[in-house]
Amino acid sequence: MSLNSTFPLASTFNSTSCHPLLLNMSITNPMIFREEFSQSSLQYGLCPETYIALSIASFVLFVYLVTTCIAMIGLVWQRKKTHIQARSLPLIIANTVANLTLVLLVALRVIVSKKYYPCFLLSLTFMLYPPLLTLPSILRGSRHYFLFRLNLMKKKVFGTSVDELSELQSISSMSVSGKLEHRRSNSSSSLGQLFSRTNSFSTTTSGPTSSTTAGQDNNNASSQEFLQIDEKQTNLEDILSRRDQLLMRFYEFMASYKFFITVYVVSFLIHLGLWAIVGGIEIGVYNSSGSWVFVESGFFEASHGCNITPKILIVLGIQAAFYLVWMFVINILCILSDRDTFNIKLEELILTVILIVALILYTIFGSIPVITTLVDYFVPYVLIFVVYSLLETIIGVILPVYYSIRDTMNETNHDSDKSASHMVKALLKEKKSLDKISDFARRSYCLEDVLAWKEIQNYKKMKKRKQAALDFIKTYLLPGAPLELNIPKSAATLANLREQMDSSTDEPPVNLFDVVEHQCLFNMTDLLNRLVVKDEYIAQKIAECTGNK
Amino acid sequence: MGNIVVSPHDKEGQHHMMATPTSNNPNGGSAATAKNKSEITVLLLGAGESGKSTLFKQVQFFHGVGITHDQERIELIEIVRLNVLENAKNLVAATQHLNIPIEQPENRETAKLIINSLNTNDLEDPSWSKRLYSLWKDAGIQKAYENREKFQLYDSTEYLFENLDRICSDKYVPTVVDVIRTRTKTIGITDMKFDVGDGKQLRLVDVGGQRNERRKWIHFFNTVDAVVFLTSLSEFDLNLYEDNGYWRVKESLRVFNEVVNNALFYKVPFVLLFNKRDLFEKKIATKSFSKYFSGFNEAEEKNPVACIEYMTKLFLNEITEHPLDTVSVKTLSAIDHDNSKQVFEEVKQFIMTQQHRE
Repeated sequence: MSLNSTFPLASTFNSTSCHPLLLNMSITNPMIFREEFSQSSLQYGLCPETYIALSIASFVLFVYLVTTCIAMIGLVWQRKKTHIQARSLPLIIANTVANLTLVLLVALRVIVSKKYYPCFLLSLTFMLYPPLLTLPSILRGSRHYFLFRLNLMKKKVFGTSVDELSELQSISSMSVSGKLEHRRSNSSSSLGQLFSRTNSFSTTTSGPTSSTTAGQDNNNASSQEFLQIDEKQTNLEDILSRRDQLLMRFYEFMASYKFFITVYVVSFLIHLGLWAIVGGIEIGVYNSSGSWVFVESGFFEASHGCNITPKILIVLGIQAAFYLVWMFVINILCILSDRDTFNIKLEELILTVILIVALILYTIFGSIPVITTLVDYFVPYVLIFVVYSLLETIIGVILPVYYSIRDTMNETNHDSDKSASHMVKALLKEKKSLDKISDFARRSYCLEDVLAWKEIQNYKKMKKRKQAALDFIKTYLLPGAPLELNIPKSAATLANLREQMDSSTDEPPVNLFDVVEHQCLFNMTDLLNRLVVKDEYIAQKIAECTGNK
Repeated sequence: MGNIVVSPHDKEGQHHMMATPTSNNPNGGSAATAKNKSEITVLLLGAGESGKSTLFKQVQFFHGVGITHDQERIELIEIVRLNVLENAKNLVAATQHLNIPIEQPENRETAKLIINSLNTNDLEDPSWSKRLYSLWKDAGIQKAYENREKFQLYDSTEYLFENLDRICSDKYVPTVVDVIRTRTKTIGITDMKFDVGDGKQLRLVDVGGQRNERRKWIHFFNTVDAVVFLTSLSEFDLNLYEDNGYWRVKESLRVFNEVVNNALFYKVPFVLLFNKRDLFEKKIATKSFSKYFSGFNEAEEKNPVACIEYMTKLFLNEITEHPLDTVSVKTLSAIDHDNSKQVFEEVKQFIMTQQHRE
């Protein structure tokens, strides 16, 4: 590459590459320029650089780095919460790394000074622009879309009883309701057995004989039996056809971190390869024609800085076109999918719009000569991308972290306000009173609240929570479930839980059942009102609790 | 904090805890052998919030059990205040849900505290009486209250807010009326026994009314001697607690149908009580009754007697199996002590007469 140093300066010193006003100013106002004007400041297609550009770039970079640090701290702190889990922690981190790389490549060139910033990094930056800018949006969107498809499929397979409930509501004629009740108990294939074995009240409609036997049967039914029923669950594999299974696996893969890590790595390697190939071609052309096509002084020059030639924009355009088409397709799919409770879809669309605005601005600025040759040396317009990355960090990371913190605050407040359920909790945590409450609850036919509470405590300690969460829903929450809990607006609660579980292919959040737990404790206050009369020990415990307040 | 419904010292008319399912059935018989028993089991059935537990509490009260003594009612302070908070929360949530702004800025502050941090112990401070009352009187909250059929709210809301000056005080002791008015969702099954003369005991069984709770009723179906089915007259514009989107009347009719036509109850005296008559009369004065029942003559909709007659027909139409001469229909206002006493006496007489007839 030593060829370049011998190359005569005169050929690059022409009025088209530097604005005359800039050159004039560098002579009249030397103090705002980073070095005194000389022939060497015009090397490699460069023009004199100002301190103004340096300070603006440093400031923007500083703001970006601080924001990213805050975002990362918040992310690590809230990593187990629903809002973060729903957006996938690995994806957020991968996107942040992509943004950070882009920002450093862009801002450091201005800060280090274009003259010294190695030319090969500049050419690499241009080759990496398309994936670094669009992949975060593409991957976020595609994850959202494939999760949506996956959940549609799950819904189809499991035929949720929630749907049938709403169907039930929409039918105004009362005579049909009995039949529907019956239908509901035969509904989803995987749960059919559960319903029929637990003789829900609805089965009494089928006839006097069955209800009598059911009654006696149920008298002997203990919690033990309920637990056995759980084992009878049908496996996923039995319900799905081979094709659906493959499709489901495919959706799962597309929504998993494996997919987007692969995409990042593969696209990075491809663009590295492209960079090498285009750089090689350029050297070939240079050797035959004597002029640099894309970058003044060549793709691989590491000893000094250089400037681009407009032709590199063609290479950039071809790559960008490919990614933009990909991004548009994903965003259209996103628009077609359902809205989610976490507003991931909305976030994705807003960020895409911002990205498009940034790209349009960049293209417009890049095609106005006075901006590229003059304004750029005071306010580097390439910093648009840093601003975009900043907005992406705020919308894509800081806001979710904020929602998560806000929710946690609300929850903790919520927890402390019910001193009644607080007291129940204290009693349940003590072995002897737990035994007494369990015993009394069993004899009052409301053991389900105690069992559910215990189960939730176990759930919270588990590492692999997915199956446990599904089991819990089947046992305690589905309409007609063996140990169905008495909770308000159960269909809405259930739908909400499902959405939380469906929003991620990873493990469901630890606090998934907080609302249900709270309701169980609340329900038990009624039980405790009755028990306190019967049991000295509990009465004494409660007195202690109230005394402590 | 304990909330005692019944004296801890076992007395006459004690509050019985359920025996275990296996040893539960000393009389072991069906309804056919009922007349020989010394114990008459009466089930209080009905959908959620139909007033089963209110009637149960009234019966306890006029049998001198439970809430008669100040000392026992003190234990219920927590529950009463929890009711106040629940009501306040539901109202504030409703203003958000219905997009009705709370008008006064200081009431908005109060609303925020209620949602986020207020707990029952705070209500000992009398300043809360003023704040909550001011919130209650806020035009926004009142507007939400007028639209209360659109969300879940206890019937006792107005009563509790009007009595805040007593409730928000460190000297507060719930009155009998407070306890009767307080809503507690019954979980599982509970019962009480009391003497009814002739050496017989009446065992009154109270149950939870929500869908999941109804599955537990079956445990009592083959030992029952009489069924008292409650339904709320004032629920004609309301939706279910457990399923917000399902009309309560439809649910009540469905449950009634399932119970009254159950083969186990063919020979059992059956009482249908239309509860909350007081609320109902207030409600039809301002709300359209005929809007909810297409078959009802609109001109009569302000006449409670005609409306109740219509409801009676609607329920009796559901009876396909049970002999009609062993079904009695009455109206009730369970929060009214005298009315409850009178109606329950009538119900008791009806059941005893039917028993003798067998």
